[in-house]
Amino acid sequence: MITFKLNGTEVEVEEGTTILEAAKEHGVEIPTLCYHPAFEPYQVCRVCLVEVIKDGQSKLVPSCGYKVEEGTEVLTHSELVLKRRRTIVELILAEAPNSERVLAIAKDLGIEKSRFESKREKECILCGLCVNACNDIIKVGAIGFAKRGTQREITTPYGEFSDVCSTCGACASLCPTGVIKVEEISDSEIKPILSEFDANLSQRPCIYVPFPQAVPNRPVIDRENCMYFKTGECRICEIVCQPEAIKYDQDEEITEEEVGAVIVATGYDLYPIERMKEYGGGEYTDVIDGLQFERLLSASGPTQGEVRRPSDGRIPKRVAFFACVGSRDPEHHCSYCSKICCMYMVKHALLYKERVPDGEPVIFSIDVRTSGKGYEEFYTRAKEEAGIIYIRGKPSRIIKEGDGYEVWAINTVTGKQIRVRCDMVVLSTAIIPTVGAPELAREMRIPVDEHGFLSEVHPKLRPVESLVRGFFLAGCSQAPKDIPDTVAQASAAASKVLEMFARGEILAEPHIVWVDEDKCATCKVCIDACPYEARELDEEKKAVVVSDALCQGCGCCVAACPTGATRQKNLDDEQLSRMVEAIFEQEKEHSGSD
Amino acid sequence: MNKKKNIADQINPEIRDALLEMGADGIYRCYQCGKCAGTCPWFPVGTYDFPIFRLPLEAALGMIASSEDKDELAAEIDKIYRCVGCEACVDQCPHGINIPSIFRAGRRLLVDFGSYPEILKSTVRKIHDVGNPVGEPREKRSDWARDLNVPVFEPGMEFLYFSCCISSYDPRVKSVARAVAGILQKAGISFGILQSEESCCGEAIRRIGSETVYEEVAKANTSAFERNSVAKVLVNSPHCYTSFKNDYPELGVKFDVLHISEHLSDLIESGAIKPDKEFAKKVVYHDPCALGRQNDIYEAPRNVLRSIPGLELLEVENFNHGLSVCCGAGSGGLWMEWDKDERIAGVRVTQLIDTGADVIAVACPYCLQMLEETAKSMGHDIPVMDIAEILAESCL
Amino acid sequence: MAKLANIGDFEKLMETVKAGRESSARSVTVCCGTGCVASGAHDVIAKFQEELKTRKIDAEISSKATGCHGFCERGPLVVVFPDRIFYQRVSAEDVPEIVDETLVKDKVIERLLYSDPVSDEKITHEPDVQFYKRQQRIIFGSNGMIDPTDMDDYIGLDGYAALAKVLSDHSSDDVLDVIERSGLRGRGGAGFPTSRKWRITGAQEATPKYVICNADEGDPGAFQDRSLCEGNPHSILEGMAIGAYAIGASEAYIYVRAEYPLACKHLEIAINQAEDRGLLGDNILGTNFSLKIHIKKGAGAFVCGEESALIASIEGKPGEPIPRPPYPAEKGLWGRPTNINNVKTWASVPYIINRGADWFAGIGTEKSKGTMIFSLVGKVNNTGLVEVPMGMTLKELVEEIGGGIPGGKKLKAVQTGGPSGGCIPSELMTIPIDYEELAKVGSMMGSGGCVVMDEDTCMVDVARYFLSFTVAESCGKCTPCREGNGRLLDILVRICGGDGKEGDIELLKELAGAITDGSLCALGKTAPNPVLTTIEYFRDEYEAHIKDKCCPAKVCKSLITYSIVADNCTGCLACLKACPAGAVSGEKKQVHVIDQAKCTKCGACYEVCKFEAVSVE
Repeated sequence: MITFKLNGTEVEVEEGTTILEAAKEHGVEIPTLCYHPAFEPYQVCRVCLVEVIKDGQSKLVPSCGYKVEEGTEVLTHSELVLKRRRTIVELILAEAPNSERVLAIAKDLGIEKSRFESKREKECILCGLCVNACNDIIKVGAIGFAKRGTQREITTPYGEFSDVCSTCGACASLCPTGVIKVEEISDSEIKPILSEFDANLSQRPCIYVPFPQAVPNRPVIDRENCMYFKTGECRICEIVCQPEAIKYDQDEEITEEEVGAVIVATGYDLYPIERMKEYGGGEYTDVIDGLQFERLLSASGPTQGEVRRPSDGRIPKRVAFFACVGSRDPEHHCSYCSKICCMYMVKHALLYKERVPDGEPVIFSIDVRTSGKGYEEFYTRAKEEAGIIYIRGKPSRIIKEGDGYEVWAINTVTGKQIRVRCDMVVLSTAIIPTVGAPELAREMRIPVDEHGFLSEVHPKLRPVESLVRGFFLAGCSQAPKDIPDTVAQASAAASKVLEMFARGEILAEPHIVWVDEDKCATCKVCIDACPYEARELDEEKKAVVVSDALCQGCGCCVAACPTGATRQKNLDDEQLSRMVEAIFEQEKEHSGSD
Repeated sequence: MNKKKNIADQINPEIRDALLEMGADGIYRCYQCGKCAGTCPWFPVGTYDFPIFRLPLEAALGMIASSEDKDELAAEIDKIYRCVGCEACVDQCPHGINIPSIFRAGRRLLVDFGSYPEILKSTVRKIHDVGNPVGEPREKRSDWARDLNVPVFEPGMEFLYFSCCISSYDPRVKSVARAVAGILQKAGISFGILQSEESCCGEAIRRIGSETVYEEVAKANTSAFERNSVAKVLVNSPHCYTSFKNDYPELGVKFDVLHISEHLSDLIESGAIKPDKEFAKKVVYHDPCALGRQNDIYEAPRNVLRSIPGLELLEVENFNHGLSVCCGAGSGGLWMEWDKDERIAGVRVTQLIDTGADVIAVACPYCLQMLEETAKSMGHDIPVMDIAEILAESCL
Repeated sequence: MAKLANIGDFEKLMETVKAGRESSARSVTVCCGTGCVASGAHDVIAKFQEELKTRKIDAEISSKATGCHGFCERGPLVVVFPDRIFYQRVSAEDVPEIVDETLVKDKVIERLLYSDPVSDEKITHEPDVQFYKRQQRIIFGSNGMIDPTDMDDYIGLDGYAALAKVLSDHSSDDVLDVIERSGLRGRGGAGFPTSRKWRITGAQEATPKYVICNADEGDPGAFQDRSLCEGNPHSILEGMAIGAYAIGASEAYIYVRAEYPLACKHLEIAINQAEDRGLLGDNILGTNFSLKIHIKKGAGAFVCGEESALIASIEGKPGEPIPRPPYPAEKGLWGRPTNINNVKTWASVPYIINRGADWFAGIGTEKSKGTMIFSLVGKVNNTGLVEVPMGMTLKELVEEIGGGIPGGKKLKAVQTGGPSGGCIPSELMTIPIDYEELAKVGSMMGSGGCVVMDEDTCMVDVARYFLSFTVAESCGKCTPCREGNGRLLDILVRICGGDGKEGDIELLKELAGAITDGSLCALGKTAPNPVLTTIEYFRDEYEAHIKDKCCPAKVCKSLITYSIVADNCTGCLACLKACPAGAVSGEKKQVHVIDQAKCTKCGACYEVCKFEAVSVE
């Protein structure tokens, strides 16, 4: 341990600690620019200069790289330090007058504006973070310093596009002035990592918290894009993370739990916008879907709740909303009504109008379906009070015109052609089952309908139970649903589970099967035939046994059993013939009476 | 004086039933979304409100050509004959309603009553009389090939080359047939023509509504094919193509049909044809509806053009492939006379010229004639060429 | 050449060499330092050889090309031994006469003699020339006597005797003690005690260790390292060998700039010769000590004279300094302990070993021992390389060795230490040459630049000039040096251009403070020295520029105007003809006029006017 005086107070730190680290440890903040904990201190910006007094002699040293020495005195904010720091920061500020990082440091030092005028074309302060990241962390060396003195600049070899750049963006992400642009370094296609939670409207790093309310609220590593997983280099997160929480060898874990009931709530996805070619879906950046618009409206969204169109960040002055996109289109897309679009479009139009008071929302719809408590009133209010324009008709095309879009449609009420110029289009694309949900359903043996939604036992009488005992349905896994319906169904499903649990025993179907163990040849044909996995071979008994709880009495096994060992309760041959006889007797009686 | 009937009285179940019998399809499925109308080539024309989306509903109510008022009826007949059968609406309709088939049913009704445009009556009559819409004698059908040594088809030949009426008789379009024959000869393909035994394929008059004359010519053709044991027919008109491929099977005949663009594309790929002369021009390709949208042949003609050295292939932005706009010549449109500023072809020519092309390429004699004439009448001297003509320039 | 197997062999060789060179023998030397070569020395020596051969006296009278004698201003220089008759500005045409008259007949040719600028007296013998008289030429002393490509010449003057001595009976500690007692300090500028540096490097555990000779001389106007490399390369090699022995290194580098082709060539020849003789390479003189010396040619970046930048350059990286600590002594070349010394430091070592620490310590002042070589340039009569004992005053240097200021002008200031040194005003000329004394007045020893300035020098312009050099040579790595010095220069350019503002001086001082305290390496830290010292000693000149918009020395073009004094003008047309811009107009015998719009302020008219009719205001 080393003892030294930090701003007059004697403190103790481990040997080899830099002044910057020591100061931080003791709550003293020193501004830095070119320093990054992952790199060897580059010590060039000189913003972190501090005064070191050793043997009565004072000198200024960069605290980021200077190791604490025994018995010295360190002043991080002495008059001299502040004076020198101010001059240096002013010199930097002159070259990067718009950098928030630099402006913040300047402000803390009481500098509003640099006395010097900017001389360089680019706002580069040559802190070297980009170069050091590329060389030392990513180990690619696509960029470096060129020329010297005031001509010094950061560039690729010969100023040409780099063919070694992996477009990882480490350089750009570290740049304190935002002057480094990957597209100026490499001409290969740059695939930004898009935020799934922001419906691809914003970018996210490779290490990220999936969404603001994530439980647990911890970051995850996107292995597909992580440079370490891709190339074996980088590990910057590991270096930076002080609690040493980064573990590259952590893997997905599968935990097995025994449960008595399962509520399947797989949610939904939106019909891919790319399938709507006539609307330029996937091609026109300002043609987005409802969920993307929802993110644009969200205060935690990519634009902090300001409605700005994705292509150029402009505030759109007219937004067209299309209903029934991919819904109610049996010929090409989905035959069903997605149920929620009519109402969320009202909401979107109103919120848009609220955020952009001089904006004009135009809704193209064919039938506005407002079945729900207060829904019709909400719709009426939107039209009457907010003046939302509704046009009856499904637009035929969207044509890009200049920096806007032209919607081609027919007002089917008047029969007149209309072309509406707008800045942005929101397509209320159909709700479809979550990708992968039908496969999951197959695993669970729950039948799905033609669209891939999970089937209930009976649409009216047993709407929350699946055909498989113990599996219940909730939300859009079953069909498109709005929030109240989803909550209602989820509550119902929970109640159903509780009802089942409360009883302590299960009421079996009267026709479940049993196995005559003497006759069973253990051929196992019935096990394959059973759709409910209710049968297994009992090695001790040398016979197939049936789980009374799982058997649904469908009879497949009875038909499959070659020895007649499997029999259905209350439905064996004798009983059946008795029933047949009874029917014929009834018939006779009836005909006799005629 | 003008005794207008009550709307309710105009509902006519008899007309509806007749339309249904004549092939009106899907009239009950329409939910009046109007998507058809915006994709209709009349939309970009802009001067004529053509609410085709109402047609299925009107058909369902039997309200087509039901008016007893003379002017109203005339307007209605005009409307029924506006459809050029491009089928852009069919592609878009959420319920897959074939609106052109409803038009065709309505036309059949009008043809049955003889109340259809005079100009089309003459076309139908010519086809009935001499087997072609031009009115030239049958014997002259193969005049285009006179100096080319094109053999008469005989059994054992691989292909029957069925040149469309327009490319057989029209002095300008003849060169398409000649180009095709020249290329096939150079590639050493075994093919022949049927000369005066051929009749018009009948596609256009069927869409005009003249089912009887269509059946006449179709039967004449099928029996000629059968007589000569024709197994594969090569056509240069997409209209012949769609007629042979989609309509003739109803008559119980069996033969294969190939559009020349498909065959040329294959021949280029196999190396049988080598386009080696430079055609250093910017060429925009116009998708014929009957080839592209109706039969999904988009790439073959483009492959032919791409194979030609020096040629720069352009596309009409927003309106190419399945979203191409019709030239307006289909379903009798070739013979119709609409106002000058109410022409679909005008819209298309402008779109094609706006690409900055030097040449407009087509793969259909109707499109060739329609676009060339319209361009001329609009004062543009841009050449309109069939892909076969361009290829012939490069490989012959 | 046979390899010397042991020290005895070497001693025998030395005896043989010395015996072959009788001091009474007549010979002629021609200075072939770069300065003299530029004025035709190669032709002169070739002519001598030819003439001697024709007369068939080349066996009795030898002729040789030697290293730089230092008095470059007067080159080509010819010295006839043994009397050391000194001829200056000799051309090839003069050679037959010298051979006939001086070499054969022993007559002195008057017209080739140097005449003292002060007394106008003709000087016959080299040591009597005032320029040499006051010098104490130690490390530079042999330059004029040896042919740098002939190793025996060096050996004949006790060359490699020091190495042999060290290898025969000195332990490395013994060497360190001698060097410590001698008080030798680094001649590269900072003056760090050499023995301490060696000790630190020697004490490191890590191996291998390296020694490096810093021959990346880059100061404008300085060429002492070059002259030494060109003129006496073996002395550097010997010093390095002794140092490497003391430190425990067996590999060494000489970092020399590629623009010094002759230096590179002579060093290369010298290394090969020494290796052939077994004085370098494996098992030197049969001992366990081995040393391989490599030459690394630098591309000529001033900043590569900074030791960490120099090391980076040898490693093949961009020549940029890295922060210290760690110092090269701990982690240097390839991360190993490395000792870097300047050419002159290394070259001093053999003399100290040969003549003893006490002898060396007896020269100079209390803290600065030995001699220092200066490149004496600027407004001084005798320019060239001079070696003087530490402690000599600047006044002596300028007036006695330099022969005073030409044209009877007054001395204004002396700038020492290269572009980063400070300007010392004439009032302070009495200070002795000493590391500490120079630093006290804001300048430094540096690598030995010494620029003399007369009253016609504008001090603001001088500061601007030196700074423009350091700004151009800054690597640009750290903010204060890159941005700060750039801004300093901008302000100076502005002041010289007549756009100085109130507060500029304070801003200059503030910036200079931040640069001095904040820069990463010595280049940046010292770059503001010319600015700071000129402000300190010549503040009035700055104020005149800023407030009165005038340049008292009449140098700054934007602040002066040339005009014709009508009363004095005779209408001779001289200025009209001299003007390159066509700004002067007028008829013969009529008063001329200068068109200020056309005038480029080159001063040509002023120079040519014999009637004081051109005035500068």
